[in-house]
Amino acid sequence: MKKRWRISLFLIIGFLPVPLVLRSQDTAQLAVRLSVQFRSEADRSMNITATAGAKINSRLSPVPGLLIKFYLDEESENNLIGDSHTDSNGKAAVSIPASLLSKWNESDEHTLIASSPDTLQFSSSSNDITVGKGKIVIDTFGESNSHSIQVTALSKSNDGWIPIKDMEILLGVKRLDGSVLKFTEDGSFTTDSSGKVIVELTDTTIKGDEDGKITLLAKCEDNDDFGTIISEKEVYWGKKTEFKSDFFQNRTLWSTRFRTPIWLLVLVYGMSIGIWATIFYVFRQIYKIKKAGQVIN
Amino acid sequence: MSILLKNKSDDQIIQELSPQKFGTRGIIWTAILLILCCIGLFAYIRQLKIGLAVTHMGDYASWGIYISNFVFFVAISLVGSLVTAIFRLTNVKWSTPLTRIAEIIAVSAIVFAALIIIVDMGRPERLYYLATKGRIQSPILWDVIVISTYMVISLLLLYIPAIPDLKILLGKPNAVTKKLAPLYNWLSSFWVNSEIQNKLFSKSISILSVLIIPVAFCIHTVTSWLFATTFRPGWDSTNFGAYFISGAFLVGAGAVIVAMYMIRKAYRLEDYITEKHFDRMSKVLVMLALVYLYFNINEYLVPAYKMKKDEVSHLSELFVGEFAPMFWIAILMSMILPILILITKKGRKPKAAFFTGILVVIGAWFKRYLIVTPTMLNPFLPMHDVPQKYMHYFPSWEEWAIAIGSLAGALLIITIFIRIIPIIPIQETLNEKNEKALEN
Repeated sequence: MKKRWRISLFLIIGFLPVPLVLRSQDTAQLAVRLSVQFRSEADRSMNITATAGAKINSRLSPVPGLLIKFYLDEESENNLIGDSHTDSNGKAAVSIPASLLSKWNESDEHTLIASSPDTLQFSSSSNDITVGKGKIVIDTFGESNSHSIQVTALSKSNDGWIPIKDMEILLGVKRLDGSVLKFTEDGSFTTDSSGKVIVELTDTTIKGDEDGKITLLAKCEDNDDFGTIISEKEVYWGKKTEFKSDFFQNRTLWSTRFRTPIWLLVLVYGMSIGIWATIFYVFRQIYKIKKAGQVIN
Repeated sequence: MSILLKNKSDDQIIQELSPQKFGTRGIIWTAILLILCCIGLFAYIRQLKIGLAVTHMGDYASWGIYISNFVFFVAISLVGSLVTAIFRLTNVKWSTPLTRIAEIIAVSAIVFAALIIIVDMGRPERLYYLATKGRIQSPILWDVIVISTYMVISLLLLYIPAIPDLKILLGKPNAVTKKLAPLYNWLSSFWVNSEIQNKLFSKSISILSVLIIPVAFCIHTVTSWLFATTFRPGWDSTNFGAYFISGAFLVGAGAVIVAMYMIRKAYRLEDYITEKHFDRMSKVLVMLALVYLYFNINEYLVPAYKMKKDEVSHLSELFVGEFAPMFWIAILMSMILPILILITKKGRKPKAAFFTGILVVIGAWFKRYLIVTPTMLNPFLPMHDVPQKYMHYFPSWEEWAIAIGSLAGALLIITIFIRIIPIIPIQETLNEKNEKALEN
């Protein structure tokens, strides 16, 4: 009996801390994993994106609503690029402001830092990425039936811009939704030793706007040294699109009352006139009945 | 023709069929209808002042009890064409005492169908814009055209056959009150029963009888198209025109039986509206109920068999959900029970037929409510991020008051007509009696 009591007491004391341990685990701060991406669009913008994730229930899930601060080269107020809260996908993005352009131009390579502060739920976290300055230049040559596109990948060094060899570049035509119409099956080309790719475009069926304008797009995605580099160029090689401006001018069921289909007008007015003519004929008969009565009276 | 009529003199028939002053019951009946109309008018004035906000209609249930009432009135008005035109053209002699009842019901129903649609518009001046700015492509405009046309034809079909009757009454000093005499005089003093007048008279009625059938079919087909041309669950059907017309004939026939019983009882017209009339109208009603049941099975069984994802919520709400009790009661009241009752000889007796007629009319009203509301609350695109009240519809007191007021108004018009003109055609009854006498 005594033994039983001892075992029971042992179990009670032994398992008493379990809920406390579980509770403490519930309230413990979660570690945030930050990843940083850089994206440069020629003559447009330079964006830094941070993606925040945390292991919740053993799964890496995006962390929304987390404040991320972005710095150029070092974490100081002078080097603050900007701050942003993560969205539902755990992403926060900022652009390099004009106030930091002089600092940006001082060096050919920069470290971009993203850091999140300590919160009740998440512990502070920081990560960085070092990127060089790269760009893609699109040159075009062409005749009426065949067009050539020359794409050159360049990186900045002390001596100026030097070619980047063996760089994977996606080349195609930019669609209205931002996706790319690829020239080949995978759409990617590799630069040669002079950093160049030359592509012959013989397809004359690509649809452009009313002037035949299309936008060529060259993109190097998630490069270890330069991040994502994008370049665009507008050319007039597309097939001209004719916009039918008379869509609402036609006589249709959905057009205004002044453009009713003829068949409908004939049908409705024909039936109405036929029926009302008969009604007036009956009124005339009543008039005749009245007249006939007056004659006899 | 009742055997009893053979023994009656012409004067006796004229006397019995003349419009009679209301007794105490008639006055109470009229007073109740007037009170209901006044309450409805008060509610409508509130709606005019405050706007459609007094209703419980909203973004989703933008058609409610007003449109249900409109469809009900349009349906019931179709009876005029059934009894007056179809029976007349097919030479159905026994229907003579019922023709005027049917035409009066048709006229009063179509008047209120037109009025209730103005109520539903919210601001009545919109009717003017419909005339000046309406698109002929819209079925709503077709409905306006066809309703006004049907109203004129129905009025003519009520007036022309009444001309000889009014003239007969003018000749009997005791049959017409002093107040009604000028009206009778204006409407019928020219009638001398000459050969040429009779020829023109018959010709006019024949033309109108032929004309009213396609117009009547149009009126209810176009009303059904108001729904069927809209892409919504329950309305997306090519069968809607025929489905609506069959339902309209059914409710119209039910209304005629109810009116027949009440008029027969109030004016002691047992010799004119006999058990034979109830028996035959009941048989007609059974046939119409079977036809309407067939269309209902088509309308609900086929989509229920497929259970397309977009229609699941609508059909579920009707069969087992929020509207299920009303749905099954309506099916039972307007189709199943009338068939089961009227198929027996006892069921076709006046009292049983009268109660069945009431079942049909009430069931038909709820059926119209079920055609409109559940569909509005179950659109193809799901309702996201809307207040809970948007997902349900129950009419406000103003809507009920206006709807009940309009029903009372239609009954009031019928009551006034009964007081003003002979409810059973006198001339035709006399002609039939004399023809029978000559045959014998």
